[in-house]
Amino acid sequence: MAVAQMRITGTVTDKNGDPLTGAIIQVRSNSTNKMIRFGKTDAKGVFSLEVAADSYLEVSMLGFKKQRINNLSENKPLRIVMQEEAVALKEVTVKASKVRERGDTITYNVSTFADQNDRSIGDVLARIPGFEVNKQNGQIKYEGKPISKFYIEGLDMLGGKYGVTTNSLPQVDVGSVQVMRNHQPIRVLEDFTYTDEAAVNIRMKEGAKSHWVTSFNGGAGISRHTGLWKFEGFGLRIKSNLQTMLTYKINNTGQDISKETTSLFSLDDLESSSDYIQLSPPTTPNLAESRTLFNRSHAATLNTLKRFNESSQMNVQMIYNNHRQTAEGERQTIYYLPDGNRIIDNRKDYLQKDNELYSLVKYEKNSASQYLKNSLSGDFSWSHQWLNEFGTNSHHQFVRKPEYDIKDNLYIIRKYGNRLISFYSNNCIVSRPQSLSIDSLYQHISQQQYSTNTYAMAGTKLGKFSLSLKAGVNAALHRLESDAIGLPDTIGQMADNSSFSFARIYVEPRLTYKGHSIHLELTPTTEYLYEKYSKDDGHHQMLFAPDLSIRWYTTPRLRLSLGGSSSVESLDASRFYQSLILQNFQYINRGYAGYLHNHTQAIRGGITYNDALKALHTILSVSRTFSTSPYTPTRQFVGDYIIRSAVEQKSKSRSWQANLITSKGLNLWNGVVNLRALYMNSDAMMMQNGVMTDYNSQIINARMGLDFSFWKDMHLRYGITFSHKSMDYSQAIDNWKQDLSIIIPINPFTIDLRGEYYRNEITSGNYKDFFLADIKASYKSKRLDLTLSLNNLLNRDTYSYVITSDLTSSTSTNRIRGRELLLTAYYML
Amino acid sequence: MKRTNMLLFTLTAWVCGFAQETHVIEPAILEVRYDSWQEEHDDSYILRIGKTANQFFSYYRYRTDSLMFTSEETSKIALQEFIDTNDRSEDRSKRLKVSTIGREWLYQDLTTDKLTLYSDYASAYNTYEEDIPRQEWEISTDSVMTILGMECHKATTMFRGRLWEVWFTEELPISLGPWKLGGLPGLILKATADKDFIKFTAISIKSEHLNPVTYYNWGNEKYYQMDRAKFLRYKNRPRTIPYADKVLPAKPYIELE
Repeated sequence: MAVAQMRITGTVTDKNGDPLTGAIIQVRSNSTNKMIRFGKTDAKGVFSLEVAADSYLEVSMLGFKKQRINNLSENKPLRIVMQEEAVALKEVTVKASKVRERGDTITYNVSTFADQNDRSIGDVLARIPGFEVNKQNGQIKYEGKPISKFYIEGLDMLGGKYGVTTNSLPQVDVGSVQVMRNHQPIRVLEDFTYTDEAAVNIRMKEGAKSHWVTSFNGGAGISRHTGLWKFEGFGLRIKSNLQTMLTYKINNTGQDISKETTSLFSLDDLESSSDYIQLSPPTTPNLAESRTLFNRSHAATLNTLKRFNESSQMNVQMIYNNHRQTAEGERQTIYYLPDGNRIIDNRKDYLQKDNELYSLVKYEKNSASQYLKNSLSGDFSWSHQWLNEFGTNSHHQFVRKPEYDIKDNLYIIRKYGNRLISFYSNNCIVSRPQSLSIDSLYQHISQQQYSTNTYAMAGTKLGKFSLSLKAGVNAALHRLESDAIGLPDTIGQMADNSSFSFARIYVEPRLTYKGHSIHLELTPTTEYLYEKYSKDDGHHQMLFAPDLSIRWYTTPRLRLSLGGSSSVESLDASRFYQSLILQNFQYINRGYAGYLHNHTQAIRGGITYNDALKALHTILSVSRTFSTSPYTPTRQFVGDYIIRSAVEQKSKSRSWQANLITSKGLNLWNGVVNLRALYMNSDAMMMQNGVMTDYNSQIINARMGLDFSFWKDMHLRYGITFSHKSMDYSQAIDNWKQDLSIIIPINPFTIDLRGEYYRNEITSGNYKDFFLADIKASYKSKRLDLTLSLNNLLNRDTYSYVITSDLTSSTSTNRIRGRELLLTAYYML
Repeated sequence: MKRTNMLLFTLTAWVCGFAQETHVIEPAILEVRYDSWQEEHDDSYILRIGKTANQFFSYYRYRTDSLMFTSEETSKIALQEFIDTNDRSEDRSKRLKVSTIGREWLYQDLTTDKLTLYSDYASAYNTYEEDIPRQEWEISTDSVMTILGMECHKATTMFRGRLWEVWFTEELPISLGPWKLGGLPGLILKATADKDFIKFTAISIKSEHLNPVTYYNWGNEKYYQMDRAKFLRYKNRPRTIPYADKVLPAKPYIELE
């Protein structure tokens, strides 16, 4: 049966007669009320639709009342006037008493959602509407989005590691789960950042607040010399307002777990000077740590969190590390002297035993107008090191290196109207009573250091200009007490007891201008500096260090930048002493007091070019640095030892540095080719046995990489690296490295093949080749992950390389980890 | 002389493309927040709707940019957050939020029927304009799903090389949706491309305390003007982006043709 069709046209306007764009016109059937067809009004509010005879129109638009139009006829265009209506969003209606809603928080009653087969809280959460739980890693999503914080009884102790709890906390112990919407962890930022984050809070049942929740994973394997093992355990106990977490880790597979406890980066760390006593054990910096570290490490951590009230809480952390490490190798060092080179060739045998105790107390107060965080930490470590050398000079060296650090970091953000002011105060006390014995020689040195950096920051904006200001005080006191026994006293003073201190008051304004295509930034740092060595009268001065940078957005593809700075380096506090200090066998350092500063001027320029269509990206930067040092380093050979110091003689050094990064996409196999190059050229001076030597050194480093993806997740990566180092007086050294990795995914397995091929020049034209290959196969299932790895397949157990710097060149051959087979399992209960 | 200057001016304007500053377009009536997933990666988007204009952009990108460019203190916060994404990689909530369209800002102007896209991916700033796309939808009225308490109907379409399945609600009579989707007799609250290529789900809708529809260009960047065909050629080869800048899964783009 053919239904008569007609074309209806019309205009939709508001009550003032202004046309409405985007109004929806639905054609609905009179008999079924179902939509047959629909259309929209255009920019003039006009629509035109084919309509069947037995139908009506429904006109709707957000912010207006819906209208129904019956009795349609083709004869004249419709004029539809819409009545305004407030946008009313339907509240999410919640039925049953399983769920309670109050403000932004929704509470789910766990027992009403739980099934008898559910074991962990994760199993139950997966049933609650709106939640998704990842069984592998325990991650929780709410309304499709990973939750921003996971609290237990209102406390966030686990941070990101909450996944273990999701999978192991028994659901029978949980009373309810709360979801907090629009959750901004730092409340003072609420008006500055826009957040829609949701957080989850687990409320425990009253009777169940003293359970331990646990999980484990581990692995075992063999190498040619020994068995290999690694293990990790985790335990958690929850009480209201107090939570405790314990972890224990151990391995001898070349992973330094003591590093996990220190955070990698922080914007607010004070630098502390290095140790005077430093052995030089065999190290292999070119290779990954897992290939070179012979270790046995334990780490145990205890973490507790206590809440005082809604906005304040305290966190206590204790970490104990026990680490043992050995290294073996041979090193030949050449010193280039005006009157003939000196060569030392020694075999080295190294053992290090460390104990470290770290504790942290963190207090956080999080209110709407102020955020305050204070962390006080103590890091106490005891390191014993033995280095035995045989060869040109046979020596037994033993070092005791205790180090006691206490640090306090205070961070406050306060809100004043719509402006934020932040305040930082970082303070630290370090004490290092250390000693070194070399055969019959003995060096004792005790260092104490106190330093502070306290500053405030605020900013304001005026049109295209903005000004921010950072002002503060930076001060430090270094005390040193040293005593060397057994050296002939004809070469200098053997004992010292002195101190050096400085105070710096600085103002660091930063003025930026952001124009149409030019961005300009000027930072004229001004400071007042007072420095004092305990054996003289001290020195004070005003310093001015401006820095200007200009960026020109030439075209959307090309950006040019230019900048220049003039700076005065602060004095190295650790050189203010008068005696001789034994660093290790070979080196003795002599301090030099004097208040002259290094001055550095630098000019830098850069070009960035991006042509996305041609898949070409290039960054080139070049800088030229001129520095003037009032002191020239000296090196004096006395017997078997070398005394390092400086004399007051102006030395100028200048250097070029160029850096290129470029990448180009290829049509072949979805490939991409990368190129990176670095060039450095510098002139420097050194006084050796009273004779001044000028020398120039150059470094060229280039790497080309290829990356192909033939199919899905299958990858092939290849890279070739070339480095060339040359220094006057010594021979130039070239090194080559090639690396290849292939990843083949065959669900549920993944096979990973890796190879590294090194070709290192040891003496002129004489190369050594090293090929290191690994195979790894892993299997993933719901509860179990297994990985079988065979490392260093060809059992290459030594590695050689050459380093040149400061008129010295050294060739090392060190032992590395040989062939190893390791099976690891991660099992989730 | 005057003419040469004029020519020069036109030429510069053409070469430089757009370099507009952040400015308000019109007040918003409604704001929808969508979350997206693409394999392991998630992201979140805002669709901000005004009377004649609307915009669609990544919430996380917006948050980072606004922190970076507001003041030095806030940029320090953004910087620390970025550092944290490296530091605690096992904490997924702190990971970098990315998707194939995470670096794109879409603006629709209903009065001119134009859609403008700004892309700032991998330090390449590109923009193009096209007519607001119209998808041919197949609506199936028998399936019903409730999303955010609203009854939704299913519709499907083949759009630029991908099969889209969406759920829209007539309770909000706006023919818009996430990304470039729209043209249905109601707001799209859920959308899936090719079953699992990318998924969008509305997680909140607000009609009060809204920011106006705003053109954002925090860094005052210049955008290179091109057309969609050119842009697509580049986006469908995501692996040609330098490794250091790459924050995306090496996947084809949301549009295939």
